Amino acid sequence: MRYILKRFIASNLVCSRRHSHRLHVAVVGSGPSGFYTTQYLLKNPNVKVDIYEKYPVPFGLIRFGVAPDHQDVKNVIKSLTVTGANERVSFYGNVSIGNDVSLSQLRDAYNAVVLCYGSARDRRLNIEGENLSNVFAARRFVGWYNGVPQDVDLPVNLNVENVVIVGQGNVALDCARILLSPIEERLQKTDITNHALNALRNSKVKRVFLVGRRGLAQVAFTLKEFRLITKINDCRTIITVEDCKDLTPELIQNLERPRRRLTEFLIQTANDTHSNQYKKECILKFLRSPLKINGNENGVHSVLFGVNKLDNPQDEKAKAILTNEIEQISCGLVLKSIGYETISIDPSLPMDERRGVIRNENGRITECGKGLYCAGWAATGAIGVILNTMSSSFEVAKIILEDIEHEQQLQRICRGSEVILPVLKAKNVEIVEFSDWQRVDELEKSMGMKAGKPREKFVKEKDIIEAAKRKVG
Amino acid sequence: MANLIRVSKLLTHSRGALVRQLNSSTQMRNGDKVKVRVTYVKSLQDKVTVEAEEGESLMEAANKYNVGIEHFGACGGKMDCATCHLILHKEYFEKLKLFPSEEELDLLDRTFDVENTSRIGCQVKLTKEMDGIEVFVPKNRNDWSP
Repeated sequence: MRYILKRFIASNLVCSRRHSHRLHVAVVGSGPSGFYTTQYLLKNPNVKVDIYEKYPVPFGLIRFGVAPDHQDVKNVIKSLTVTGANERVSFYGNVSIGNDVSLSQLRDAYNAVVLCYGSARDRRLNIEGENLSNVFAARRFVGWYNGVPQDVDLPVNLNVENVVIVGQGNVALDCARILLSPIEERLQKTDITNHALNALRNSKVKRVFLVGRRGLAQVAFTLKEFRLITKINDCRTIITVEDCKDLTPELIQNLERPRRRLTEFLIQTANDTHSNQYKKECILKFLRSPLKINGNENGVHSVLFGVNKLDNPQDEKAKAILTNEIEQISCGLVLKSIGYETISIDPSLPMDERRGVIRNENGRITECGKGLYCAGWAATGAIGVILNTMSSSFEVAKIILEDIEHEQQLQRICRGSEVILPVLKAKNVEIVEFSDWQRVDELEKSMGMKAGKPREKFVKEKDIIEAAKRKVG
Repeated sequence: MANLIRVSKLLTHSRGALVRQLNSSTQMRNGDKVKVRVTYVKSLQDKVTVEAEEGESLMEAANKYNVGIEHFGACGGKMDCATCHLILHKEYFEKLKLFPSEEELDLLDRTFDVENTSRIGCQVKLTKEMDGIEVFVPKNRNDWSP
């Protein structure tokens, strides 16, 4: 009897704790960092998460960034969908925080707010000619072939032979690969947008120059992506042997494994002899800083580069120093791929302009008081692959849960979306919820099936919203 | 308290393994697949031993027998995401020559905590020679399970 009584009291205690009030957390952005942060936050059974997304579709760069010929990476959507469908998670798409609702409105309505909106802006070169036609930020070119609503009408002209890509990171390699790959073999059966596929079919591009500020030992791309470039059919990858001269075998042996293997492969590529005739070429140029983009009303026709030297050629962190030497490369298309930075969605946010991130301490935006956090690229800068974003988001979420546990200020009673939804309604914002998205998803997949693709994306916001709101049957 | 739970989890697991072992010995007589014991070391206090089948990968086995590592094999075994990165016991790694391919090294080189005996879990297919192998979940994932 006493045992039963004990158990009764114990279970009631547990119940009362369980039924303590809900804690509402708003996550801004639904890319990998938004979803992984959400997933970790759910470990606290009192937490309810509302994800706000500017686009009417979820998954951020998994949909809009990952290259179409990397479909397997997109399998991570499966596990994110499980999170999105969780009963303690709500997804509100087509809602722009900073426009439709202010950050302070959001902070008033929620116990905590996490900014996971990534890095939405390209870094600029700040040189003459940057605004000529057929000069684009690589990000927008990626958006063009991946179906980002703002970028689908980008006036890309592929009726050119030479392309200059400024930058030597993985995004630069993605763009080069898309421009040089055979359509039938590599792109046709992917979820690449139709307008891009058609343009690429008629492309005259023969040569892509990948131009870096620093040397062969400082490239930012990874071996996995570079190897793909060298494997493109009918395309030759060219590196000048001269560019390898500073790298002695002893030096290479002392590098960390990833850098060592990458450098060894680059040197091997430089020494490859090609007897066959190739239709296309991918040419790596090192130690070149763009000084000016030349062109006229018909668009770009060349880029003027200054030749650099390095203060310490073997060091991964070597600095480029401009010399008096110059070089000009003729081209009809320029893509700028020198990194992304985070935008500010509210004047109160402390921005680290140099690093292109929101200033934070382990994810806490301490300068804005308690209860405001950032995770993913908005916090770390635009580097790394999904795996890195996953673990850094988990770290921030863990800190949030600890703060919620210990800070009384974060335990106040909040009403979350009950406060926000009426604001949106009054502004006639058409909210796309997760079940709406799942309808869009089904439609896109079935449209894709007809074309032999895994998915045919809707590329206009209006079409996505229309599909989302379409009644079943 | 947390340790107690871990210990009881361990007990449950080994009991489960025992049951499965008994079953397997009867099944084996019927010509079924060979069982391979694998221990996943999530932390010093948290080791989970499962009995997998020959031919299954280290990633598949961890998910199938509920080892409890979140988002393990997010890309679905296509060697594209590195979420199933595991560090193999040196002895097994060398004795059985479980060396990764160049392509697998490319992916491993992008992960954290990469060690000389690192492998991408979905690329390691279990063989009967691997029976008893210990594999380590990289440090930065220790905390991920609920």
